[in-house]
Amino acid sequence: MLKNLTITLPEETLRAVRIAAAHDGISMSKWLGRLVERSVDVNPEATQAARVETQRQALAQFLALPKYQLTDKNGKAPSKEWMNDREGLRRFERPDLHQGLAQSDEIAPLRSVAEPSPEPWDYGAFPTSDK
Amino acid sequence: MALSPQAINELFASLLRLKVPLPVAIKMAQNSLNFVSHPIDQTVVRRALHIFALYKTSWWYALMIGWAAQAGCSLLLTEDIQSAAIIDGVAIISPFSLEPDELVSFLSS
Repeated sequence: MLKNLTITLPEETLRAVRIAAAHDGISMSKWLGRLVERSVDVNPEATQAARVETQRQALAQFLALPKYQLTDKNGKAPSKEWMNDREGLRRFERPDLHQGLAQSDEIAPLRSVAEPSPEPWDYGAFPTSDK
Repeated sequence: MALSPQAINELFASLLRLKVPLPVAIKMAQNSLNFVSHPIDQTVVRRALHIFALYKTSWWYALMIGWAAQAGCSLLLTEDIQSAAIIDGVAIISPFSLEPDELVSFLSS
Protein backbone atom coordinates (compact mmCIF):
# COMPACT_ATOMS: atom_id res chain seq x y z
CA MET A 1 0.00 0.00 0.00
CA LEU A 2 1.35 3.41 -0.94
CA LYS A 3 1.42 6.23 1.58
CA ASN A 4 1.83 9.96 1.07
CA LEU A 5 4.78 11.94 2.39
CA THR A 6 5.27 15.70 2.13
CA ILE A 7 8.87 16.90 1.92
CA THR A 8 10.37 20.38 1.81
CA LEU A 9 13.29 21.11 -0.50
CA PRO A 10 15.17 24.25 -1.53
CA GLU A 11 13.93 25.74 -4.79
CA GLU A 12 17.10 24.90 -6.71
CA THR A 13 17.04 21.26 -5.47
CA LEU A 14 13.42 20.92 -6.51
CA ARG A 15 14.30 22.30 -9.96
CA ALA A 16 17.11 19.77 -10.28
CA VAL A 17 14.76 16.93 -9.25
CA ARG A 18 12.17 18.10 -11.78
CA ILE A 19 14.79 18.06 -14.56
CA ALA A 20 16.12 14.62 -13.50
CA ALA A 21 12.60 13.14 -13.36
CA ALA A 22 11.74 14.63 -16.77
CA HIS A 23 14.96 13.20 -18.14
CA ASP A 24 13.96 9.73 -16.88
CA GLY A 25 10.37 10.22 -18.12
CA ILE A 26 8.75 9.70 -14.71
CA SER A 27 7.02 11.86 -12.13
CA MET A 28 9.01 13.63 -9.43
CA SER A 29 7.21 11.54 -6.82
CA LYS A 30 8.26 8.31 -8.51
CA TRP A 31 11.83 9.56 -9.05
CA LEU A 32 12.20 10.46 -5.36
CA GLY A 33 10.59 7.15 -4.35
CA ARG A 34 13.17 5.19 -6.34
CA LEU A 35 15.95 7.23 -4.76
CA VAL A 36 14.69 6.36 -1.27
CA GLU A 37 14.25 2.66 -2.14
CA ARG A 38 17.86 2.50 -3.31
CA SER A 39 19.05 4.02 -0.02
CA VAL A 40 16.92 1.99 2.37
CA ASP A 41 17.08 -1.78 2.58
CA VAL A 42 13.41 -2.70 3.08
CA ASN A 43 14.07 -6.44 3.28
CA PRO A 44 17.55 -7.06 4.70
CA GLU A 45 17.02 -10.85 4.98
CA ALA A 46 16.17 -11.15 1.28
CA THR A 47 19.09 -8.86 0.39
CA GLN A 48 21.51 -10.97 2.44
CA ALA A 49 20.16 -14.22 0.93
CA ALA A 50 20.54 -12.80 -2.58
CA ARG A 51 24.09 -11.64 -1.77
CA VAL A 52 25.07 -15.09 -0.48
CA GLU A 53 23.64 -16.74 -3.59
CA THR A 54 25.50 -14.30 -5.88
CA GLN A 55 28.73 -14.99 -3.99
CA ARG A 56 28.17 -18.75 -4.14
CA GLN A 57 27.79 -18.56 -7.93
CA ALA A 58 30.77 -16.22 -8.24
CA LEU A 59 32.96 -18.57 -6.19
CA ALA A 60 31.90 -21.56 -8.32
CA GLN A 61 32.74 -19.60 -11.50
CA PHE A 62 36.07 -18.51 -10.04
CA LEU A 63 37.02 -22.08 -9.15
CA ALA A 64 35.98 -23.27 -12.63
CA LEU A 65 38.54 -20.96 -14.30
CA PRO A 66 41.74 -22.57 -15.65
CA LYS A 67 44.34 -23.47 -13.03
CA TYR A 68 48.02 -22.56 -13.28
CA GLN A 69 51.14 -23.79 -11.54
CA LEU A 70 52.41 -20.61 -9.90
CA THR A 71 54.81 -22.14 -7.38
CA ASP A 72 58.51 -22.73 -8.06
CA LYS A 73 60.13 -26.14 -8.49
CA ASN A 74 60.25 -26.55 -4.69
CA GLY A 75 56.53 -25.87 -4.41
CA LYS A 76 57.16 -22.45 -2.88
CA ALA A 77 54.80 -19.59 -3.67
CA PRO A 78 56.25 -16.24 -4.84
CA SER A 79 57.23 -13.99 -1.94
CA LYS A 80 55.11 -11.01 -0.99
CA GLU A 81 58.11 -8.75 -1.68
CA TRP A 82 58.45 -10.04 -5.21
CA MET A 83 54.68 -9.83 -5.82
CA ASN A 84 54.46 -6.24 -4.62
CA ASP A 85 57.66 -5.02 -6.23
CA ARG A 86 57.07 -2.25 -8.76
CA GLU A 87 60.07 -1.93 -11.02
CA GLY A 88 58.75 1.32 -12.44
CA LEU A 89 59.08 2.92 -9.01
CA ARG A 90 62.78 2.05 -8.78
CA ARG A 91 64.05 4.23 -11.58
CA PHE A 92 67.14 5.16 -9.58
CA GLU A 93 68.15 1.50 -9.78
CA ARG A 94 67.61 1.47 -13.54
CA PRO A 95 70.00 3.90 -15.25
CA ASP A 96 68.70 2.66 -18.59
CA LEU A 97 65.32 4.24 -17.87
CA HIS A 98 64.74 7.87 -18.69
CA GLN A 99 65.22 9.95 -15.54
CA GLY A 100 62.20 12.16 -16.28
CA LEU A 101 61.35 14.52 -13.45
CA ALA A 102 64.57 13.70 -11.63
CA GLN A 103 66.16 16.35 -13.91
CA SER A 104 64.24 19.03 -12.06
CA ASP A 105 66.22 20.91 -9.39
CA GLU A 106 63.07 21.12 -7.32
CA ILE A 107 62.72 17.38 -6.77
CA ALA A 108 66.35 16.43 -7.14
CA PRO A 109 66.67 15.30 -3.48
CA LEU A 110 63.85 12.79 -4.04
CA ARG A 111 65.64 9.84 -5.58
CA SER A 112 62.65 7.51 -5.59
CA VAL A 113 59.11 7.38 -4.32
CA ALA A 114 59.79 3.81 -3.21
CA GLU A 115 62.38 4.77 -0.59
CA PRO A 116 61.45 3.67 2.92
CA SER A 117 60.23 6.33 5.29
CA PRO A 118 62.22 7.02 8.47
CA GLU A 119 61.22 4.65 11.28
CA PRO A 120 59.61 4.68 13.70
CA TRP A 121 56.89 7.07 12.77
CA ASP A 122 55.83 9.10 15.80
CA TYR A 123 52.07 9.44 15.92
CA GLY A 124 52.42 12.21 18.50
CA ALA A 125 54.25 14.34 15.96
CA PHE A 126 51.03 14.89 14.01
CA PRO A 127 50.24 18.60 13.71
CA THR A 128 47.22 19.42 15.87
CA SER A 129 45.00 22.43 16.28
CA ASP A 130 45.96 22.72 19.97
CA LYS A 131 48.07 25.77 20.71
CA MET B 1 32.19 -13.07 3.30
CA ALA B 2 33.70 -9.87 2.00
CA LEU B 3 36.76 -8.78 0.04
CA SER B 4 38.51 -5.42 0.12
CA PRO B 5 39.04 -3.66 -3.23
CA GLN B 6 42.69 -3.60 -2.13
CA ALA B 7 42.80 -7.41 -2.21
CA ILE B 8 41.52 -7.39 -5.80
CA ASN B 9 44.13 -4.80 -6.77
CA GLU B 10 46.85 -7.02 -5.33
CA LEU B 11 45.36 -10.14 -6.92
CA PHE B 12 45.23 -8.59 -10.39
CA ALA B 13 48.73 -7.10 -10.17
CA SER B 14 50.09 -10.47 -9.01
CA LEU B 15 48.30 -12.39 -11.77
CA LEU B 16 49.80 -10.07 -14.38
CA ARG B 17 53.24 -10.39 -12.80
CA LEU B 18 52.91 -14.19 -12.83
CA LYS B 19 51.98 -13.96 -16.51
CA VAL B 20 48.53 -15.54 -16.12
CA PRO B 21 46.76 -14.98 -19.49
CA LEU B 22 45.05 -11.59 -19.47
CA PRO B 23 41.49 -12.80 -20.24
CA VAL B 24 41.67 -15.22 -17.28
CA ALA B 25 43.20 -12.60 -14.98
CA ILE B 26 40.46 -10.14 -15.90
CA LYS B 27 37.75 -12.76 -15.30
CA MET B 28 39.23 -13.58 -11.89
CA ALA B 29 39.31 -9.91 -10.89
CA GLN B 30 35.80 -9.25 -12.25
CA ASN B 31 34.48 -12.29 -10.44
CA SER B 32 36.09 -11.20 -7.17
CA LEU B 33 34.20 -7.89 -7.37
CA ASN B 34 31.09 -9.81 -6.26
CA PHE B 35 32.65 -10.02 -2.80
CA VAL B 36 33.37 -6.32 -2.36
CA SER B 37 30.86 -5.03 0.17
CA HIS B 38 32.35 -1.66 1.04
CA PRO B 39 34.56 0.93 -0.69
CA ILE B 40 37.90 2.24 0.53
CA ASP B 41 36.71 5.71 1.44
CA GLN B 42 37.79 8.58 3.70
CA THR B 43 36.50 6.81 6.82
CA VAL B 44 38.48 3.67 6.01
CA VAL B 45 41.67 5.63 5.34
CA ARG B 46 41.22 7.62 8.57
CA ARG B 47 40.76 4.37 10.49
CA ALA B 48 43.80 2.85 8.77
CA LEU B 49 45.95 5.87 9.67
CA HIS B 50 45.01 5.35 13.29
CA ILE B 51 45.87 1.62 13.14
CA PHE B 52 49.13 2.36 11.32
CA ALA B 53 50.22 4.84 13.96
CA LEU B 54 49.05 2.83 16.96
CA TYR B 55 50.24 -0.64 15.97
CA LYS B 56 53.23 0.32 13.77
CA THR B 57 52.03 -2.03 11.03
CA SER B 58 52.82 -1.65 7.36
CA TRP B 59 50.56 0.84 5.61
CA TRP B 60 48.89 -1.72 3.32
CA TYR B 61 48.22 -4.01 6.26
CA ALA B 62 46.69 -1.12 8.24
CA LEU B 63 44.50 -0.26 5.26
CA MET B 64 43.29 -3.85 5.02
CA ILE B 65 42.40 -3.99 8.74
CA GLY B 66 40.80 -0.53 8.64
CA TRP B 67 38.66 -1.64 5.73
CA ALA B 68 37.65 -4.89 7.49
CA ALA B 69 36.71 -3.00 10.65
CA GLN B 70 34.66 -0.45 8.72
CA ALA B 71 32.96 -3.18 6.67
CA GLY B 72 31.84 -4.85 9.93
CA CYS B 73 34.04 -7.94 9.56
CA SER B 74 34.78 -9.82 12.79
CA LEU B 75 37.46 -12.04 11.21
CA LEU B 76 40.18 -11.16 8.72
CA LEU B 77 42.08 -13.90 6.92
CA THR B 78 45.45 -12.66 5.68
CA GLU B 79 48.83 -14.19 5.00
CA ASP B 80 50.49 -10.96 6.15
CA ILE B 81 50.47 -11.91 9.82
CA GLN B 82 52.67 -14.42 11.66
CA SER B 83 50.51 -14.90 14.77
CA ALA B 84 46.85 -14.19 15.48
CA ALA B 85 45.90 -10.73 16.72
CA ILE B 86 42.84 -8.60 17.42
CA ILE B 87 43.02 -5.04 16.10
CA ASP B 88 40.16 -2.55 16.04
CA GLY B 89 37.69 -5.32 16.89
CA VAL B 90 38.85 -7.54 14.02
CA ALA B 91 40.37 -10.95 14.78
CA ILE B 92 43.20 -11.54 12.33
CA ILE B 93 44.64 -14.94 11.48
CA SER B 94 46.66 -16.41 8.67
CA PRO B 95 44.72 -19.16 6.88
CA PHE B 96 48.09 -20.87 6.27
CA SER B 97 48.81 -21.13 9.99
CA LEU B 98 46.06 -23.74 10.37
CA GLU B 99 45.44 -27.12 8.81
CA PRO B 100 42.48 -27.08 6.35
CA ASP B 101 40.27 -28.99 8.83
CA GLU B 102 41.21 -26.63 11.64
CA LEU B 103 40.42 -23.63 9.47
CA VAL B 104 36.97 -24.96 8.51
CA SER B 105 36.23 -25.73 12.15
CA PHE B 106 37.50 -22.27 13.18
CA LEU B 107 35.33 -20.55 10.57
CA SER B 108 32.28 -22.59 11.57
CA SER B 109 32.64 -21.80 15.28
